[in-house]
Amino acid sequence: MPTAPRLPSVAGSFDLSQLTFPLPRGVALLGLAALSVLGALSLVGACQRETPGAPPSAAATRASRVIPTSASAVDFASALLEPERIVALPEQALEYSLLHTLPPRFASTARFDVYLAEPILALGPDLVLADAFQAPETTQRLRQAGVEVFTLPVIGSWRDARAALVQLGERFGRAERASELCAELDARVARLEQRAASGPRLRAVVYSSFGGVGSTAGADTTIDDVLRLAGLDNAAALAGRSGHTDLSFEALIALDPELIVVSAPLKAPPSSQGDLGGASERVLLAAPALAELRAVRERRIVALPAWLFATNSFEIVRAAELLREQVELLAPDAAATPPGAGSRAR
Amino acid sequence: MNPRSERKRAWIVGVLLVAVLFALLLKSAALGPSGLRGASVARGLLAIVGLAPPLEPNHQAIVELRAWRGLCAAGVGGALALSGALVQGMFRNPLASPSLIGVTGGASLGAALGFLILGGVVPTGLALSAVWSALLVPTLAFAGAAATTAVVALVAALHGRASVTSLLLVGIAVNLCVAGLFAAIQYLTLAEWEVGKAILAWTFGALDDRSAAHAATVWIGLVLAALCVPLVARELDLFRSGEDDAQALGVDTRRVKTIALVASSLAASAAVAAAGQIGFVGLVVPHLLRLTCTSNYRLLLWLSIPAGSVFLLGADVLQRIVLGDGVLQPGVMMSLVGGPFFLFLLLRQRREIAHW
Amino acid sequence: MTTRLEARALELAYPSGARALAGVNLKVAAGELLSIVGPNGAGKSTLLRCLAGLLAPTAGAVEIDGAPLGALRPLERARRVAFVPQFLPAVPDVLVEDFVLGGRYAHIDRWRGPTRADYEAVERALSACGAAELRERLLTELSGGQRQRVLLARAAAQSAPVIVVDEPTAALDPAHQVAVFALLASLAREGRCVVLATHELSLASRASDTIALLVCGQVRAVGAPLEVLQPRLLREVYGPDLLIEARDGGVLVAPWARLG
Repeated sequence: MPTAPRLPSVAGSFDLSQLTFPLPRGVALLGLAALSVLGALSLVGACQRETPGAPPSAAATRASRVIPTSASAVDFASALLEPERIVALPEQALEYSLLHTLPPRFASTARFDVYLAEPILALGPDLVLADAFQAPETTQRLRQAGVEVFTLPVIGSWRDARAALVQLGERFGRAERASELCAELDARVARLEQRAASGPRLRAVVYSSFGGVGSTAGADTTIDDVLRLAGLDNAAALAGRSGHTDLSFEALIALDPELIVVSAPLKAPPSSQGDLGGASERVLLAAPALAELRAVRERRIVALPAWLFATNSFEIVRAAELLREQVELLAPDAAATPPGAGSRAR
Repeated sequence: MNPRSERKRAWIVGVLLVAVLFALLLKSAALGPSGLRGASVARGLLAIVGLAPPLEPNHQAIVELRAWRGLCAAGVGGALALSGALVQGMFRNPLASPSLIGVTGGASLGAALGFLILGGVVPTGLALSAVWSALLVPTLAFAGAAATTAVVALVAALHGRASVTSLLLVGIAVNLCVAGLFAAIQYLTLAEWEVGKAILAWTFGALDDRSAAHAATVWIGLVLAALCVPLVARELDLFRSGEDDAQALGVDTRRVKTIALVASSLAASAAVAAAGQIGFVGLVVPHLLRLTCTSNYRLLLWLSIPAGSVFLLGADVLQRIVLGDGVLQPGVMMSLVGGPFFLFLLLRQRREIAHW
Repeated sequence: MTTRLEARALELAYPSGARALAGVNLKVAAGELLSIVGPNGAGKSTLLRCLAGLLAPTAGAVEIDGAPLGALRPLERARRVAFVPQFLPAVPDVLVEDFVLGGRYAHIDRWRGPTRADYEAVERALSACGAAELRERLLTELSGGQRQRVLLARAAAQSAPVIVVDEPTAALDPAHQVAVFALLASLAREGRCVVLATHELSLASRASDTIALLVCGQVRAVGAPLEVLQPRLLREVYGPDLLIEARDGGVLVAPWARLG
């Protein structure tokens, strides 16, 4: 055979040639574009260096007009501060916070939509309480405008949250209120530990899915701390998972949990099951492959409201309390089934 | 190349591909995070077809999950490759892919709507049963894909006959519109992080947690599309010297374009409904077949089905062996491997052209 | 002789209102070779596409053996008339024999595939067009003259009583031009009715039974070559720079001018 495999001629069958332009010119254009982007960036950088005024020192602001900008910032601010010191609340984060039911004392507080400098500056704050993950550009703009931005420490457990309470209490001049709150937290945690010690430790898995591939939370997540406080073993963490990872049905069957914890979404559509669990619970109940999974068969599925499922403030403790209550409702059955009696795939 | 030897070669390649496909299906059933292996898997598989008593329920469930996963991967690969071959034949362009006629974008939009309903962001006022909520996203993805293709075809046909060029341009324009809507949905759901995450994850494709319903969806779509192949194969070969030329030979070009469009949309829509968005298979499998075997559509269209199956299932099995389970979703893997691989093909092709 | 192909009062107007064809009447008998000549833009290609049933006229009708072409389904049309384009929009990398077999599309049963009759028709067409030795070559590898022969072979394999050919000798050297005209004449002698558009007036005058001169979408003159290719008429239509000479029963027409 003279010619080895025949090739589809890309150029011949379709006039791609009309779309191409001479390579050197293309390369030159690309280079020019790259250069101009670099130039613009360095200009911006230069302007920023020239801007005078470092952020004002912490002691300078009284923090009499505070704006929390994330769900956990709302938790901390509303717990620590007098309501009149909070001038505005973040619309979108509110429903994931302690204030999701909006108590009357905050009913008339102003709202703003997103973490952007302009709407926040328009409210005239002297201190903005933000999470570390929020847009760094906005934080920088606010600081340039002379507003103190206090960034919350990263919170992975209730102990982190407790430490943050102390730190914020000092900053806001509310150290007494902070120690009051800490004492209350300590007492609640102690009660939880007591209750947990009285029953069996169930092996639980956190599950969340909208019909795509589900995910779970392993070690190093706030929900892992919630499970521990509620007297549950996180089976995913015990199996070596950490962080939020995908969890296939097969992996879920292999974990064979005694309890599944799902999130009840904020705006769940009405469900014919009449449950709280929303989408994730429906996925679990609908999957033919899971029909024989013990936790599904025996309906050992408990739901945490979304604002507690995702909390990263001291509300971790409230999430654990709520979870513990539901576990105790199931507990008589749980005690009847010795742990590990169910079938394991391994 | 003698046409008869070409046909013989195509047969050999086809039989080999089917054999490899069966081997891969078996291997796929032996892979999974629960460590169920060997004889139990074999017994479980036999139990599915009623030739053995089932294993204890959870083990049987695991074997069935793996079987549906393998069948889904094979069906999706075959459907995407067939769809790609049909689209390439119709557009007379080896760089065309099912996404060109709006399948991918439309499916994403439909799936996103499904997640919005499931997450309660879009209130429907309907009570969703558990079974319906499991089928909502695949159903809407399929509807979105089919509807977008229909819009492309109808708009292209607005001014008299829909030439292939206007189909191409309208396809690009409709894709842009759909992508804009999809981007808006993604942005507006940033605050609903669970919903946003589900929408994003869907665009990476998924072969985990498939059910018999998923496998049935894709295989029904594939079979229906395959039934259309005899109606367009000879015609697409004549299309290679131009649509007008084919018309002069007696080809009913309008009919061929309609059937090819419907068949490719059906196959690709069923594929995305079953496994989310998986790119690259539809583009590269027909291309590989042309390089190695034949550019004759009467053979290429048929061969693309087992070739696509082997390609996707093989890649899935390989990555699960190498990386372990649940590390990468198939769509991500395809995009990671796809770009460099295609570049390699083009460079190789250029070198061979230089030799002529 | 009976009329095979007849065009009656053909009109074709573009959406802009410009008329490409205006009142064209033509009759071609079986075994007759009709050349359509005329300056660029006269509407020759448009007329051919109408005659081949590939373009629907705005008014008027084309009939083959009394059947109106516009009413036929594509397959039936292709069994009656074959069309040879000036060049292929795309040249596929297929074998010549596969390509010529494409001409049999209208005869091949979808489910049974090509039969022995189809392969025999391909063989006959290939040898009739002097392309038998090209059978196993790739279409993309052929020269312009070879490719033209293969295109004609495909039309011959179509076994249609009417063949319509658009400028078959464009881009061919003189020897190949002669060969192609000889081929077209032989196809006509087999009883087909052959219609072609061409600028090659000299060869057309020798090969054609009839010549139609098309100017601005209208038939200016139609008849035997010597009647139509009159020096005065040609100079009026093509301008003065022509060498015209009657010779051996034909007319030698060549562009001829003092340049620079």
